[in-house]
Amino acid sequence: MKTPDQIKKIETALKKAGQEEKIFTPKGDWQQNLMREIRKTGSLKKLKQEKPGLENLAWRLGLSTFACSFFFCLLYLFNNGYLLENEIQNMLLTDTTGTVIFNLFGI
Amino acid sequence: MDRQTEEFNDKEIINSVLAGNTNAFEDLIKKYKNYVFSIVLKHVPKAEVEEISHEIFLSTYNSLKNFRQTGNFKNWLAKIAVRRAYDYLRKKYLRQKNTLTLIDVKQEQWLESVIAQQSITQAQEAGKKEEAREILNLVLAKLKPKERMILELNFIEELSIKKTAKILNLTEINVKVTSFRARKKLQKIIGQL
Repeated sequence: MKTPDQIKKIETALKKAGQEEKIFTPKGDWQQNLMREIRKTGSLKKLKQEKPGLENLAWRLGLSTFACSFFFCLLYLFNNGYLLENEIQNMLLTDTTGTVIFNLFGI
Repeated sequence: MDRQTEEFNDKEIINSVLAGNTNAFEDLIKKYKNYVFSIVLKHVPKAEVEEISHEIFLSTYNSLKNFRQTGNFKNWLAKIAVRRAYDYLRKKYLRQKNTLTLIDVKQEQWLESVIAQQSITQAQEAGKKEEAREILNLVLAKLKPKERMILELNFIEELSIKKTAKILNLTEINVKVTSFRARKKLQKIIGQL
């Protein structure tokens, strides 16, 4: 273990190391690669005119509607015994929907 | 070039880019790449600087339409750079295994030489060596990303609590508390080296 004075000295030296100005030179065509990618992204004028936000929203709404319908469809099938073997079916059917879901997930 | 002229020039370039002249963005890259490199280099390993700077300029380009013309572009870019570096540290922290990293002989010699120094000023001089940077990275890697970032901005770069809080989107109290705890943690780690 070091003494507080020794810790202070090391801390000061490390602080200096963090403040040391470093020179960084990128490899060859870093700037060209970056500009190539930026050009691929497209002009900001064009991007401004399009409304990607709205498109995203439509996608999200569609996807969540689909997920919800799928879930309720599965729930209906489980509840009416279309998806399970007879024995499990009978056991599950005696329960309420809520308990069935809890049982299925082992809660 | 004074600050106002520089800001005016930046805004001219930005307006040109927003009007559809994508190539004008290269002027901003040329002008600020070294500035961005120096910010990134303070927080991430050298090998990652190019990739992160690349991401910074890309996201700057994509968010350029959100840039408020009343503000300073250089400060806005610095904020993006610091936040990107912070994101990198968070991702890296989640991936890293808790292995005990040992210091090598050279680094141990450096530590001994610092301890042997007569004064704090002499110890400060020792911070210019490569070993110091290596040990600093080693020690900082043991902190949580938030603690590390706050310590780097507040303690090493000597930014004010207010500025640090603004850059990291935190409250000033949060920065003060985390900075204090991080300093204590840092001293504990140094003591165990």
